[in-house]
Amino acid sequence: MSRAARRGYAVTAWSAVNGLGCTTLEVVAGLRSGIPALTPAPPGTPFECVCGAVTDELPALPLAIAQLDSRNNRMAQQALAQLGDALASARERWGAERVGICVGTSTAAMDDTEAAFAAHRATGALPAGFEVLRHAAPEGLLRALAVLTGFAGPAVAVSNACASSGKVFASAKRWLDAGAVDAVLVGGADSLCQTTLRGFRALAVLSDQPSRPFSRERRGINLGEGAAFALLERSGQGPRLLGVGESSDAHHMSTPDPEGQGARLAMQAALDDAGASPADVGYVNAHGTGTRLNDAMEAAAIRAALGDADPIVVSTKGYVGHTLGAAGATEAVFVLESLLGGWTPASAGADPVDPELGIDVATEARQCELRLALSNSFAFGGSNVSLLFGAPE
Amino acid sequence: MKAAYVAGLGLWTPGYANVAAWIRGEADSEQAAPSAALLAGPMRRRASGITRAAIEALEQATAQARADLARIPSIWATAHGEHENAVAILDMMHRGEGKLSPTRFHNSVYNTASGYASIATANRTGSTSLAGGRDLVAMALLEALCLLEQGANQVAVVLFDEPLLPPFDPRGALAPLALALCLSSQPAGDRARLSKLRRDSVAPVKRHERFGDLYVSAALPLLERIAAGRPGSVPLELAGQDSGLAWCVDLELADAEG
Repeated sequence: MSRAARRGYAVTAWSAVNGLGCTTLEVVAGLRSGIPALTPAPPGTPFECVCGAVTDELPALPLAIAQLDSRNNRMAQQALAQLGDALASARERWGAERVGICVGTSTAAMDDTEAAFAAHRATGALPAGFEVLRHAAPEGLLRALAVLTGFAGPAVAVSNACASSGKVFASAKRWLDAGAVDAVLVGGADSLCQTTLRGFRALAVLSDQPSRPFSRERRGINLGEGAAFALLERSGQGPRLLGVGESSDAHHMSTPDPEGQGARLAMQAALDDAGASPADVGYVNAHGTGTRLNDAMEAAAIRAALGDADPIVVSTKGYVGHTLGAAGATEAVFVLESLLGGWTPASAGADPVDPELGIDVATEARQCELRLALSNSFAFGGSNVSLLFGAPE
Repeated sequence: MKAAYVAGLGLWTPGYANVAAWIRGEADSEQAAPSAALLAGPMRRRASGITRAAIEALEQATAQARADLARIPSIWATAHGEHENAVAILDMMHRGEGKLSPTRFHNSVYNTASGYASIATANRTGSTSLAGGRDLVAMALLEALCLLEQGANQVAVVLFDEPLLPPFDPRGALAPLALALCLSSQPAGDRARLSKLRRDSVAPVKRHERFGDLYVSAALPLLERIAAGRPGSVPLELAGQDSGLAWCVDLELADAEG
C-alpha cells in the first residue's frame, strides 16, 4: 500500500445539526456543556418518551427543488450551509466531476411517507405531488445534495441502518484509494418518525427516560434526528481519516452477537487499515446506545481489540439520542472536534458506570492531547463499522 | 482501475427461475416464488418476497462462481428496499393501538436481505447496502470494483427491487426483479471482462414493460449480453437524464484476450 494510502485522507471541513443545535458551533458548545438536549416525543406518539429533536425552524429547500422538500432534506440543507466555502473550494480545486457524494440514511423521509399514507387513509388521495422515490426514499436526499452542492462525481446512498453514515467513510475511502474521485462529501441524515419510535418500542429497547449508555442503570435507547457532513480530500489540512474497518455479526437481525466478535473485527480492521497500534488510540466514541446488550458487548469488544491501551470511552448518544442513519457521521464530527481541540466530552448519563464493563467510561469532559480516535457504529443485520481518525499533523 | 471478470450470474423474477430461462424468454407459471434454499426455518418464514428473490439471485451467481459464501464480500442495491414491510408497518399504525410487530420492524431496513444472507452463510465479512436513483447499478459496480482493487478475490453484487404497492404505486412497474453478478479479479476459463466504468454518450437502457421504472432493471442488458456473448459498451441506466451522458461499462469476451 502506498504511503499516501497509509496516511489516509484529510477531513477538511465538517458540520452537524441535531437536538443540540442548528449550527455546528451550537452543537459543539452543547457537547462541551455536558447537558443532554432531549425533548418529549413528537405529537402522534402513543406513549411517553424523550427524543433528540431539531427544535428550530428549518428553512425550506430552494424553489427550484421544492418538489424535494422534506424535513430530512431541510436538515441536510442546514448542515450543508454550515460548510460555507468548503464546497465551492472543493469544486474549484478538483473539478465538480471529481468530487463524489456518499451519504447514509436509514429512515430517509419516512415521516413524510407516514403523513402521506395517513392523508390517503383520511381522504382517499396522496398529497399532491407526493412520490415515494423523490420525497421519501434515499434517492430524494441524493437528488437534493447533488443540486445543493453542485458535485457531479459518483453519488450514492448507503442504507445499512444504524451503521449507514459510518460506512460511507469506508466507501469514500475506497473510491479515493481507487482513484475514482479526489474528494467526497460524506455524511448522513435521518428524521424522527413513528416507524422507528414504535418499532424500537416493540423491540422493548426504547427507554422512556433519558438514555444512560454504559451506566449500571441503563434501560434502553432514545431516538434522535439530525444531519452531519464531512469533506474528505486527497490532500489538505485537518484531522485525517486513517483507517476503516467493516464486518458482520452473522448472528441476528436486531440483537448483537453477545461475544462482540464482529465489533472487535471491525475495530481491529480499522487499526490494520491504518497500520496503527492500539496503544495510540486515546479515545473511543462508542456506538453506546444504552441497551443492556450493546453496551456490555461493546465494552468486551473494546477490551479485546485495544488490549492494554485503556482509551477514554464515551457515548455521545446521551446528548442527541440515537440518530440512526445520521449517527455515524454525527459521531465522526464529534470525534473530529475532539481531535482538533484536544478534549473529550462526558459520556452523558453514564454515572454510575456499570462496574462490569472494565473500560474507562468518562463521566466528565477531559482536556487531553489525542493522537488517534476510533468511532464505532453497529447496526441491524449485524452490520459493523469502525473508523480511525488522527489528529492534524 | 483494474478490470473485473464475471464469474457468475443470477436472476429471478416471477415466471423466470434463472438467467437461462430469462434469455430463452419462456415464462413458466410454476415459478411463482424463488427457492432461496439458503434460507431455512424461521428465517425463511420471516423473509419478505424481495429478500428471498435477492438471496436466490445471490445463490445462483455464487454457485456458478464457486465462491466461498462464508467469506465473500457483497454489495446490495435497491431503490425501494423492504417496501412490502414498510407498507405493512404503515397499515399497522392505523389499526387498534397502532403497535408494530418487532420482526416486521427490524426487517424493514434496506439491509435486511444482506443481513439475512450473512446470517444464513455465517459470513462475517462486511457487506454494504446501497440505495439511490438512476445511477444505482453503476454505483453498485463501482463499489464492487473498488473492493476488488483493494484486494478482494471475489465480490458478489446483488441488485433487487419490487414494484411500489398501493397507495404509492405509480403507473408502470409490474414485477419484482433480482439480479446478481459474482465478479472476480482473476481471468479464468470463459469469464467475460468488465472495464472502464464511466459516463459516456451511449444510448441509455429502454424501460422493459415488465419492470417500468425499477432502476435495477437497467442491469438486464448487461446480464443478457454477458450470457449471450455480445461485447461492447453496455449502458447501465434507464433513460431520463437530461445530460446526454449515461453510465456504461465495456464488456469484452474471453476470446478477445491475447
